[in-house]
Amino acid sequence: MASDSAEVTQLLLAWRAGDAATLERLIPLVHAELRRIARGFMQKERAGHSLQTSALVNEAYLRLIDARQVAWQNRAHFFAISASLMRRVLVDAARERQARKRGGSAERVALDDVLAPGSGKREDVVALDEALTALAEEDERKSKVVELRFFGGLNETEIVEALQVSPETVRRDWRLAKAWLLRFLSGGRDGA
Amino acid sequence: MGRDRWRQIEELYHAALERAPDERAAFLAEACAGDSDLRREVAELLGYDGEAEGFIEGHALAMEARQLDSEDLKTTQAPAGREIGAYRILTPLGRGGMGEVHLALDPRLGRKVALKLLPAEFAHDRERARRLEQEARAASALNHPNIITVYDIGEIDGRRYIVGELVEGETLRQRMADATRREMRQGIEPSEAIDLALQIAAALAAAHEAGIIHRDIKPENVMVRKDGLVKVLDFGLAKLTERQTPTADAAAPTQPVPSTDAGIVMGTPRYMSPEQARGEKVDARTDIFSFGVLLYEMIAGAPPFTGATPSEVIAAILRDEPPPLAHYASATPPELEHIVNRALQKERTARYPAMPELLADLKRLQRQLEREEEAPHPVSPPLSDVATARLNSAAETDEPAAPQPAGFLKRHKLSAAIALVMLLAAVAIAVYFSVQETAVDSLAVLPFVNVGANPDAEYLSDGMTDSLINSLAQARRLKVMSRSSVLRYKGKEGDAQAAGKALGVRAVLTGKVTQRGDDLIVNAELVDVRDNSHLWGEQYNHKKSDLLAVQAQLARDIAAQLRIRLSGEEQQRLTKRGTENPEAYELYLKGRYYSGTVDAKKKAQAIEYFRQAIAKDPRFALPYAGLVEPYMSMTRVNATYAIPPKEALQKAKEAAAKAVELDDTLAEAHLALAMVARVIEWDWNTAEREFQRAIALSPNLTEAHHFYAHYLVEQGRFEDGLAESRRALAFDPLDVGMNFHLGWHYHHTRQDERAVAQLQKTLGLDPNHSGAHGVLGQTYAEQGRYPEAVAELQKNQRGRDSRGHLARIYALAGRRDEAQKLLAELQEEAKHKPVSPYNIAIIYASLGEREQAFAWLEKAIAERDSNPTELKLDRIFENLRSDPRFADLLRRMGWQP
Repeated sequence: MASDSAEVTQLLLAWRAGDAATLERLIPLVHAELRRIARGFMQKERAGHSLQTSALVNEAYLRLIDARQVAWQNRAHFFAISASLMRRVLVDAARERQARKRGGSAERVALDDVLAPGSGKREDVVALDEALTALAEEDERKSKVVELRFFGGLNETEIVEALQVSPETVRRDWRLAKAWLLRFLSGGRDGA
Repeated sequence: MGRDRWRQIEELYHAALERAPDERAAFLAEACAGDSDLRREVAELLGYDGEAEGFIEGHALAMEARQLDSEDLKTTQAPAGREIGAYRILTPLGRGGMGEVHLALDPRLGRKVALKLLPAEFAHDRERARRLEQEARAASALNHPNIITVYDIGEIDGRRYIVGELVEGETLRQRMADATRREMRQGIEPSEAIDLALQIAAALAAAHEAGIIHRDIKPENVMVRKDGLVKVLDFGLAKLTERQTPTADAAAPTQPVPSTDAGIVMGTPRYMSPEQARGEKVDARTDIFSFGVLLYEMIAGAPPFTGATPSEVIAAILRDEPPPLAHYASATPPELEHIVNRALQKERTARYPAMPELLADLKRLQRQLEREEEAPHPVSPPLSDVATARLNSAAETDEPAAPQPAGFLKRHKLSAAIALVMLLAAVAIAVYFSVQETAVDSLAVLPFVNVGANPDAEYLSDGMTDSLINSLAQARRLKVMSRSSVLRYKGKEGDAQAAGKALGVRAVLTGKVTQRGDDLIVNAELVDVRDNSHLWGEQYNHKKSDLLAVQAQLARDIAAQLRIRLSGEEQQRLTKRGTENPEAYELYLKGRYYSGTVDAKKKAQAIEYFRQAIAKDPRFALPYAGLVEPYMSMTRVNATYAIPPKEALQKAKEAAAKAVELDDTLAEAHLALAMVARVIEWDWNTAEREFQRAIALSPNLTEAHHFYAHYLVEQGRFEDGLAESRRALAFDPLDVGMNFHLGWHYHHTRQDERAVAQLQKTLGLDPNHSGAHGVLGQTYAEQGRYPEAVAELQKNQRGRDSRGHLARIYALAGRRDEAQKLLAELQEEAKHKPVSPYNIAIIYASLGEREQAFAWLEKAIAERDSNPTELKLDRIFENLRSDPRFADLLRRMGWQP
């Protein structure tokens, strides 16, 4: 009985080893799992439990990735190597959801976004992904800090460890990156 | 934007943030000094900083979840996985008389479990509910490797459920069907059937002892994992389906029970005992009968009692004698027939009185079959050993005192021939089916990682690695990299595939050991080096006191994964541990860990641990064998004797003898004996015989090859020694010990350039190898490269006293006073603690003081300093060789000069 997480993890390992084609097989597997995680999260959130994000992310990793298969030194290392995968997976899932919502049309701007410019994109994983890619062109490290924290679920200490920079640098990068991303998402400079 | 520009923006941005909001504009205006673009840029970003509250503070997953959720509220889709209590149902696994079984996930632990949903009626009966809980609690308390673990019980929507360990494998029913289909035979091959039966019997014996009767033993309730481990399910559950008071129609466990759930498939009464069939009260002996039915069916491939309808079957159980097993399987040993007969007695008083008696008979039968199997097919020990083995087995089988001599193969020559043909057919079919998957024939066990890096737990991870290497090395068809080959990957977690490629193996095993208090978590992973595919992975959660069981299980699992076919003897050796006492084993591992170091103080600690292990289990042979090396090292680690050398050597001798006495099949014990004969006794014949014995017992024991090669060179048998080294190196080219040995070999056979290259290669594998530095220094000295020689000898001579050689180089280089200084130092030390006399002899010989040199060599021989074994070839005493006293020394050491 091949468990999903075992299969996901094998694909993840293959993908990391440079087999780009595995990502295509990986994404659909992860989507179903992701929906379940999201539902579980929302059930708890609606029931008034303020669920710790770290617990949610832990659970996601636990379900999505069979940690036993991955040679990892610690949680930070493991999350760091998985952050970019998490990003791909989530962004892809969000794209699929948006496409479904619009009955498969390739229209990029959601109605919400038109009605309340800025506020919608703040909550849009796909838009954030694009902004992050643009930021990487300007300043790769800042983009990485956001990826590790927002998609990877690493805390400050873990990012310090993963990137081998000082905590002060991480804090400064995070703050400037957020402002930069918000400006980009609001269609400000660079983001038009 | 240029990098410098961006840096500027960044600096100003953070500098501005340090100021109060109302001061920022002024600050920027001043700092940007006319560069209005720069000012605008920074100001703009600062503006967004104010809006950034809450932005991407959560996780992307939470953000996406809210989006998904808001859509789901509109679309009202059915929930994805049904939730039962805390568990999420994934897929149905099957249904049976006792309810539906599902594969489920326990999200709290991220663990897959088997969830059994019992028929609805259970919940309405409070008494039954209470009993269910009681039984589940009792069953989960059994904690036996052959009994499935119950994690949880609960109730949902009026239905009871039981959550248990998920066993990945097949039911015994499926296993029997496989045997018929794949192996073209009726029933399971006897040795496997007996192996399975033993495990089932062990589970039943443990349960009975705890007062739990199974009541529903049948092939559907026995799971067989891929590695052959059996798990018996549903202990005590059957009781719940029985009516409170027996009635005329006798509601037996597998009889249809009143149920509101119409889809449930009911079992057959085939495995019921006569007393169950009659609806009488049952005791543990009902399980003995059902077990008898099961064993019968496994061998015969057909149940003993049959009928077209359940009532016909019941009638047969009450009335008929089953046909003898020989009717189906002509080669059935009479002992097996006897066991089955006794279990299937209609009167329970005529059956085995209890499970342990049956278990004992089965074990005896298993041993007997193994002996038979081994005798005609010796694996490949040297000829003399084969002859001995044959003689021994002949003596055993012809012994008139044995009432049931083992040879049913002999007495049924024809049926044996038929069986052989069948077996060959089965093998051919098995080969046909597995043609796609070539078995892994070589493996490297990388050093297990000590998670948490607690140095006190290091012996556990190291010990586990060692034991696994030793266990797996028992399989002759599997090449297992030696400990010293894989040691350089210690502390370097990373690319297992790359390591595997470097080591030239097909598969790599990596592992992690986590110790938390008394809990021991072992993660193991097997990777195919060709494509980096994950072959297998498993997590073992046990108590530390179960260390032995974990290791045995791990070795078995790996062998199963690698599809290595093992002989019965190999199978036994694979999981052999020599003690049942976990504390003794743990102490032994600690001892091994310390004896593996070069530090003399730690060697003394190793002795202490081995002693403690022996105190816990005086029949445990390995710690005795382990004692030999640290005791003997007390003469090599010259500067730090812990005990007088004579006493140490005596203790080494005793330990080696004891190890062999306790376990004559232990390669380590014979190696220890060889070392004692070589270093202490100078009994060259015994040494040679014992080296060969150790190698025959465990061909992968590299230390045995290493010291045997060393011994051969010492004897002046350079060609033999070289051949032995080459053999070991061909098997394991990166073995550090063997590479060093080859360098040493070249040095002593005066091939200095080769020696230098080889020793440098060794140091490439292990830059801290003190022996390699030492011999390289000596080789440089022979080449007249004195400064380099001195430098090498001063490098990393931890635990070694290289002062003798160092002084010699000074003498050769004309720095006699420095040589004299070292000599004085050693002699001063010798006054209050033992110092290697051989070392002092070296210095005198180098200074040309022959009388003193001989005097100290005499002393070295008298004290059994370990170095004189090299006397015959040591280049250091070149100038003494022509002296008759030298010839006399050699003669006294058992050599012809």
